[in-house]
Amino acid sequence: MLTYSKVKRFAVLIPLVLLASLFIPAPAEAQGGIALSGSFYRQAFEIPQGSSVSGPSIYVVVFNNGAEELSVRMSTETPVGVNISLSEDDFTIPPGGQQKVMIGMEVTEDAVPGEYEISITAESYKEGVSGIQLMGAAAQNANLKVVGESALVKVTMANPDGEPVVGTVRLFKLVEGQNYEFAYSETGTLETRVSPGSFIASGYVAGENLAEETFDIAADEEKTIILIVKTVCFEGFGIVPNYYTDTGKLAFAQTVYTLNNLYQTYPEAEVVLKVTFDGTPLEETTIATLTPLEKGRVGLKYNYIPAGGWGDGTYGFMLQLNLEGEPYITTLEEQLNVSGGGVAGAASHSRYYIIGGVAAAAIIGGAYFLMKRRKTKASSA
Amino acid sequence: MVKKKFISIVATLGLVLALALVPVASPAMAAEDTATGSFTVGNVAPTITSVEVIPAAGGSAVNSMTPGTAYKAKIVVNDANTVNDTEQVRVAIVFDSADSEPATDPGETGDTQTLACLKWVKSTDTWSISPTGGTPATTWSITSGSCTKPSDMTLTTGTWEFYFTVGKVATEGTGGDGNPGWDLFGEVNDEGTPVEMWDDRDLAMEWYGEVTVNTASVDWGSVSPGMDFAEGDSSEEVNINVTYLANGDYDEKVGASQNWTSPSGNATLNETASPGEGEFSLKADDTGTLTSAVNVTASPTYETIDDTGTQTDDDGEDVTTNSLWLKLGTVFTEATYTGAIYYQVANG
Repeated sequence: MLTYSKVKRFAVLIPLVLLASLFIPAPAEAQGGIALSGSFYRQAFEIPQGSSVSGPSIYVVVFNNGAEELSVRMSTETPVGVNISLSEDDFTIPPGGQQKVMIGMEVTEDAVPGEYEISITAESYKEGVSGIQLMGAAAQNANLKVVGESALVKVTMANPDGEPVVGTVRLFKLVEGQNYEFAYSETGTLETRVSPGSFIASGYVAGENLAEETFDIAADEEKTIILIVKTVCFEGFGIVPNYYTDTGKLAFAQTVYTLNNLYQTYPEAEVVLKVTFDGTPLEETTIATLTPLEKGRVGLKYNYIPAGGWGDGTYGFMLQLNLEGEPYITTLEEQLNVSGGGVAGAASHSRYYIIGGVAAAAIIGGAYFLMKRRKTKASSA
Repeated sequence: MVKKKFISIVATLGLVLALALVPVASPAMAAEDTATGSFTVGNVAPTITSVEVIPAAGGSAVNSMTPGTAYKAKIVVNDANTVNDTEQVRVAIVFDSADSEPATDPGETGDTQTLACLKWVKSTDTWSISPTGGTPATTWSITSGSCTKPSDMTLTTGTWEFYFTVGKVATEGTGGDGNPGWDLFGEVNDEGTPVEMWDDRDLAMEWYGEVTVNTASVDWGSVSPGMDFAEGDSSEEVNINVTYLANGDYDEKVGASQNWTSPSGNATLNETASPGEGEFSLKADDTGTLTSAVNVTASPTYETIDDTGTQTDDDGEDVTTNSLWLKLGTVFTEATYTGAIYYQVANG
């Protein structure tokens, strides 16, 4: 209803508007050099109602490539019932700097199943200025599929004895050959609702991926995955032949290797060298005992000579690690081919004696001949 | 006297010779772990255990890279006769457009969009990257001071880490089987034939988009309330200059803050080009053509003004023909308003 007071107010306003019927923008200020990258755009989000997705591989990175400090405000576009959580949503970046923003996605029970486009935008802004500013913004768009069906996955990391191992568990969904992070935990266990499909569960200790399992799961199914992780491994296993300088014959084979213990100290560890000759077991020797085996890397060597001497043929070398008396892990086999002269020891040494004898005889004979010649000369004189 | 002396010399010589020729240990006799005598360690060809890219701060291998970000290319070399004889180490980061798994040495000349070549040379202890410099200047770079070689070269395993920054226009690729991605090549040379290894990890290169709004100001001058959009009159602000840079397809978009504030009150963006009292509307086009202009929407919703952008070089793509049109409601309060209009780059 149009009242007198409203008419009066409008009457006052009209001349004001007519007089000043101008839009006066203050000078706008340009600002640029904002950039955006990250993995958000290439995620194939397929999330059941009442579930969420997050992990270290879902993020965007905002860059300030300008010469001044940049203020950035993050914003998102999502359908009803879907929430995007950002680790940072309003921040400043120094010139040449960047800010990583971790992303989590929650799909509530209220979300309507279907396919959507969602986006995350980084907008630059200035405070304390007036006028209409021209600003830079950068965005990533991604696809989201909200599904009504779900399944339950539990993942646990354990050592070969079945004891729990604290580490990082990551769960990826497999879609058309690509891995998309679904869930993440640093406690060694993970439980989450997922959309039906194919998944990979990975277990990490000290940043090393030690176990992985691929599995399928159907709607309403519950699946428990146990990742057995071996936290001690061999590295750099190799065989170095060492030769006699004078004969070039094989003297010994040096076994070199590193033990890398990623997780915890073990009271006792034993390294066993297993040798084969032309495919037949030849020897088995304990070459190192560590009490304890500390966490970290330790480099070790052992010089091997066969008990029966070297023969022509192929020697195979393999290491086995025993932890507290139980076999734990082995290396692949390294081979060493020996040929030409066979055993580097006995045969060669016999030859030394012969050569030495001949040489000594020659010297003694020569000396005798020289002495006799001098004696003859002396007699003649 | 002479005879006696001579016999003595001969006997000494013979003894020395005989001792020199008698082996002090016979390695063939028993399974000992030592042997005495003079030995030559055979040169064993090195092997490359792995070539991977890890975060600059360390950690496990990444499966994607972000342009403009520093990483370490890590190559682990195993050499049974120690890594001390390593003369040169190379790592190449190679774009594989069709996931064809290249098998030949990519060479040492990089390309800002498709190839980065990293090298360490023992004789000069130098670290280098290609591409470098150029016009426009590449944004790939190496930080030699943060690169590391094995701290103990007498060990049989050694790790070289190249600290490098991925160029902004390194081609986007989603990685994974059958998709465009980036592969890693490593080579180590120790006195003989170089040993090479391809690590077909099919790394993803994240999409990267950058926008620089170069126009310092816009000034519509006098815009009367109710005046319609038109080309060439005071409702149009022309030649707005925006530079886009991307390593893949991109869209140019525009949006505005919903409320423009003033001491006299706020004005609200009308997204349908029909502003009412206290409202304003905007149109935008990248070619200055009103008929193809879009209605500007309120952020975070953006409207596309061009969806044909493709990978640029390091200079980016200048668009100097952007226009903005302003329309005010028929009743609009004169004031100085504060607000924002955004030019956005988004993955295409």
